[in-house]
Amino acid sequence: MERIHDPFRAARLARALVSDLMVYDPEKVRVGICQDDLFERLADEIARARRHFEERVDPELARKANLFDRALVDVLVFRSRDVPSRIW
Amino acid sequence: MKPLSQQDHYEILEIPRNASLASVERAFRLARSTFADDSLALYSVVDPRDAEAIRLRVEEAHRVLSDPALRSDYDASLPPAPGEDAGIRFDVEPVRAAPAASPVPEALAGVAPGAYDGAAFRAARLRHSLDFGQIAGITKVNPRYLRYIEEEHMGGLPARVYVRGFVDAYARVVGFDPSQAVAGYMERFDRAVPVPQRRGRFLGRR
Repeated sequence: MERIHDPFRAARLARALVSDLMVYDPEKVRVGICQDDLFERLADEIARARRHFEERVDPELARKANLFDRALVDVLVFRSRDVPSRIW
Repeated sequence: MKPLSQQDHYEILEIPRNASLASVERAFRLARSTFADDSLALYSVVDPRDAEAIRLRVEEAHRVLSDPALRSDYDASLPPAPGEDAGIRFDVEPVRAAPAASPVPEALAGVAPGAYDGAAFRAARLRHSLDFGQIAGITKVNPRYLRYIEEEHMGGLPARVYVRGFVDAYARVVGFDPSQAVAGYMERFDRAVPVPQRRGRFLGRR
């Protein structure tokens, strides 16, 4: 499969993958935010999603734009801003 | 990637020049949803002024390409497209519209005949870099049901007639042949859900 070189499309893929983490296991995300161990709690799921992202996107684009990590923060954390946590 | 100002209407909507009217409509709905004001997909990626410029270009592209007369004039003004056939980046043309001799479309890669299961739908969705919200925006199907389709959580889905419609709509967006995808998926649904249980959620309980 051809790799993605378009930054918009790569960003959209990152967000779709991260959004899926939230859709498929909202409780785990909620507890992770609540107890401030989100990235440890979802380590396996995040690693799988990141691997998929890196397989699909031009490596240089993925590295330079840091798109996957931005998606993690923008989607996973930002969407959970109503969850009570000491993070905020 | 060309700057926005140098992209033609087809490039803006990410469709080939021979795209059907239905493809134009689908691409427009998808682009409109992607570049919407409140689009999560664009949050912090695109400056709001740039997003507004893209939205205007998308609207203009749709206005021209959805009118056969305007489109014909516009096509005549375009230079020949080099390698247009290989340039489909975001097209969701149903597979049945492709010539028989064409290569297997991207959306079908990895889907064995008759294996239109939940995983195939998810893989196709991610190949198009779409999340549930975007699919729901186009199909008007509740994201929860889209997720159940992917998870094959058949017990959570409504009556068969609705599921058939949902699967058909979902299949079209991710570029599957709707008739094959519906037949393949509904076979799985029928195996998983006993007939009496399929009645009732929307059609009234006996």
